Amino acid sequence: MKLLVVDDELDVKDMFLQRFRKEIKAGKLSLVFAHSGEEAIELLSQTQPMDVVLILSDINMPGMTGFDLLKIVKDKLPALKVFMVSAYGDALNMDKARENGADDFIEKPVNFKLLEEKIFSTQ
Amino acid sequence: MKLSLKSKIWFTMLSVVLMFAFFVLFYFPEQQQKVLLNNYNTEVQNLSNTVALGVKIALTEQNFEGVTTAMDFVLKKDELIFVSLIQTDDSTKEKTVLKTVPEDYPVEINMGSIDTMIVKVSPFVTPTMSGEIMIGMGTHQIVESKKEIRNTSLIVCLIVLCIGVFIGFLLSKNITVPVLALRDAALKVGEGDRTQQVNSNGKDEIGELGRAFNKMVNELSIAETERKAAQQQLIQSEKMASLGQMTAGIAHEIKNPLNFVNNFSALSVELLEELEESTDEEDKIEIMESLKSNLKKITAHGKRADSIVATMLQHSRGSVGAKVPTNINQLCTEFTDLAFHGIRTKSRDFNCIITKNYDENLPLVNAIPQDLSRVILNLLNNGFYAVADRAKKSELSDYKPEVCVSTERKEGSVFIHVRDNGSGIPSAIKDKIFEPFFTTKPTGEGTGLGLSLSYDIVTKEHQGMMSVESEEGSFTQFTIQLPI
Repeated sequence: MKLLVVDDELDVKDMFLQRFRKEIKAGKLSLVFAHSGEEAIELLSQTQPMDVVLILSDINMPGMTGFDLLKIVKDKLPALKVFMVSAYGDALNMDKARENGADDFIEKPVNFKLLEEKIFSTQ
Repeated sequence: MKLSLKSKIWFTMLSVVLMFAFFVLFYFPEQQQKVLLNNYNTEVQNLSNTVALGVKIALTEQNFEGVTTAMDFVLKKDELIFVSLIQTDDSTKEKTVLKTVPEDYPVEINMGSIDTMIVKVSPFVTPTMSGEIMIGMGTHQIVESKKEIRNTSLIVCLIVLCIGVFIGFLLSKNITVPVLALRDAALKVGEGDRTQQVNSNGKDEIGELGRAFNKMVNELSIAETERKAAQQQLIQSEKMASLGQMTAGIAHEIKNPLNFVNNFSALSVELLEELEESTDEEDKIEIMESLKSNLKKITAHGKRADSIVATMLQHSRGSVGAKVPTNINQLCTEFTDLAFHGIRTKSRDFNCIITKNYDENLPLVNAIPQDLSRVILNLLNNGFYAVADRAKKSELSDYKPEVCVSTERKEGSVFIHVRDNGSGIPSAIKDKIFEPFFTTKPTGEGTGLGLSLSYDIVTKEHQGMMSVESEEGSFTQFTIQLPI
């Protein structure tokens, strides 16, 4: 299962790699990273659409926001699941995420156990 | 012609005195003399008539001594110069002087009045002869009395002049002096001195004016103090508002590093447990490397959160006026991020490309960071507002909102440019944007103090310059110039 993590914070990559090191070693999960919405779109257009099955995207990023990315992805690849991740887990953001077709909403700081459950339940 | 109040008072006083002097010295004596002369003429005519009557009676009675007696009657008069008996020839009408008293006075038949003498003639007719009596009387007394009137008038004039001068002084003292004091005080009040008070003991209108003036200055001073206090409060609320704008940005900025600190700490605990259980040396080395990297990341993110809190505190503390060598690029970065995250939380749809174009060789600038940061925050918020405004108005899909922050070193100064491709500033209001309380934002969205405070911070606190270039519907660029 391939996951695309989109966040402008560089350390997110290390965090995810460490957190899911066992799953990665076991071959259950593979991770790709993008530091902006634009980069994510580019990555998605390069790889096979079916390759990535889930996107974890931050909302608040310079340039293209997570919501922009969500709209584009849901427009072009409606089958692709998208989880929104944001520090502002207020009702408005969650509503907006759902309105735009997000499959779930994850609040920062990320509860990885919950995330893990959610990730594997999408399969 | 510009005349001072004092000159006007003196001019009026002297005109009145001069007019009075003209009447008293010339007009009145002249009139008086005319009346006296008229009376004197009548008197002389009466005398002449009386003598003529006496002579007529004496001649009718053939009493020639009576003629002399009648003529002597006027000799008692002090002013008498001569009295003559003149015979008129009935047929030829020729006149002959028969008798003159005093005898040696050279009488001529057709003598008229002159300045020093009044001459009057009274004809008489008797059966024996017809003729006339001619009397000449001196005007010495009249000339004398005229002189007396003149002298008296002169004295009166001098007294009036003295009184005039005295009144002039009094008027000057009572009107000019307080009015001039009022003028000077009003000028000083105009220059900003609100402590001016004038002497206002007078019970007249000028005293009232003085009291009104003092009251006005006092009220002005109170109003000014109140206005200053209100302004101070507004400045404070503007500061708080900008802090409010920052809060959301700050929350995001702090939550992110805290997220890393928490996650990397938790991961490190897991790694340590794995390390204890692991037997594979290679695995152990790998875990140790990860642990080391995690601890470094925890430290880095902890510091990041710490510096954000420090920045916020610095910003809210207000100006303490201390200038410190400041890294302008770092300040711009920090506050651009704060402003951006701030507006992102406020309006979730907001989107904008932020370009940072910094001169890496920028020297440290002596600045008050907490004040300068407010300027940058304010300019960025304005820029974001402008691009959002244009995006709302244009609804063109190809409009890409962009805010660019750049720095450069040029000619002994450091320049900060904040440029946006937003709605721009109409040229009609370009001159007003730095004025306090000027705002184009809807009520409640802006205090109208942001740019005016920013301008003061740059020009007064940092001896720099702040300027704006803009084209409506195209771009706006604010430039801050700070001396190195």
